[in-house]
Amino acid sequence: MWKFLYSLASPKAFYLFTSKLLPWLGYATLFFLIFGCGWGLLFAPADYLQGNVFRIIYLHVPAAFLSMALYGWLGFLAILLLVWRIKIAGMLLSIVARLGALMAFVALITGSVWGKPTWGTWWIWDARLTSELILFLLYCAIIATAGVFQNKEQGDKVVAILALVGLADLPIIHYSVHWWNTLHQSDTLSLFSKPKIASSMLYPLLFMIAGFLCYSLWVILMKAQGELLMRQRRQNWVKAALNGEQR
Amino acid sequence: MSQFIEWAAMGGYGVYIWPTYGVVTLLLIFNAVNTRWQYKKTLNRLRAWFASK
Repeated sequence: MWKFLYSLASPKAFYLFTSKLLPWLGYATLFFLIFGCGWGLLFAPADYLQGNVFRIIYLHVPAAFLSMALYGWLGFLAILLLVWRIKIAGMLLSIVARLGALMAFVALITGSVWGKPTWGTWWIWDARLTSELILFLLYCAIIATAGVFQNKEQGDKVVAILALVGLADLPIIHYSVHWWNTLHQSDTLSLFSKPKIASSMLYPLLFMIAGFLCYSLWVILMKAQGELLMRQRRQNWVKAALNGEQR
Repeated sequence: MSQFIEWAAMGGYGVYIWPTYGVVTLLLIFNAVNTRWQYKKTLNRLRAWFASK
């Protein structure tokens, strides 16, 4: 397993592997999102308290989960770059940050729309909402910083340091509903305890999370391939790959 | 027909649910299409770069 992961540090091996993986990720994304949406909107029962408005959960929770998971991955990539000097990790940093910003934006927007009928307000400076907004701003800061540098490899290192500093926000977001009295409900899903929603509502949610995950991987790998080819264009394998000899 | 209208109304919350699903779907599709377009553009730029050498 580690040997395989280590082999992916080679740009050529990374390109060849992701070329095979990308079509399957595309099909998996369509499958999970179409079935998840259909199941969540057509067959999942309405919530006893919130009624049908709870169906926004099928967009809000996957986006919020991905916004945090992608930042966690950003931290991991930063360590790979700064400690082991794996260049692909540096290249992936700004790509992951762009998608993370989109997911945080979707989580904030869907949460705001869900908040209006349930809390009576579009926005409140609640600990969970504020820490998620800070996560979105962190992503924006990382994207802006990455755009400043002419030398991309130097820029990657600065972005990696910024990403590591921002990791402190992740436990604050996760535990905000436990540490403070918040309007936001506690976690619907947890790795270490039973889910708080009925299985008829849970399964479409798991489908949507899987769909968002496959979508994120598809976008990241597609962007990474383009960036990789551009950065490695002086290597012989890039010309061969372009001619379709190794695809 | 009336069953469909009743389902689409989502118990009076359709005004919140459908625009949310619409906007998020458009955002995800736009991002995916843009990603694919950027990738194709990169391939064309590289082909032009190799051709000029």
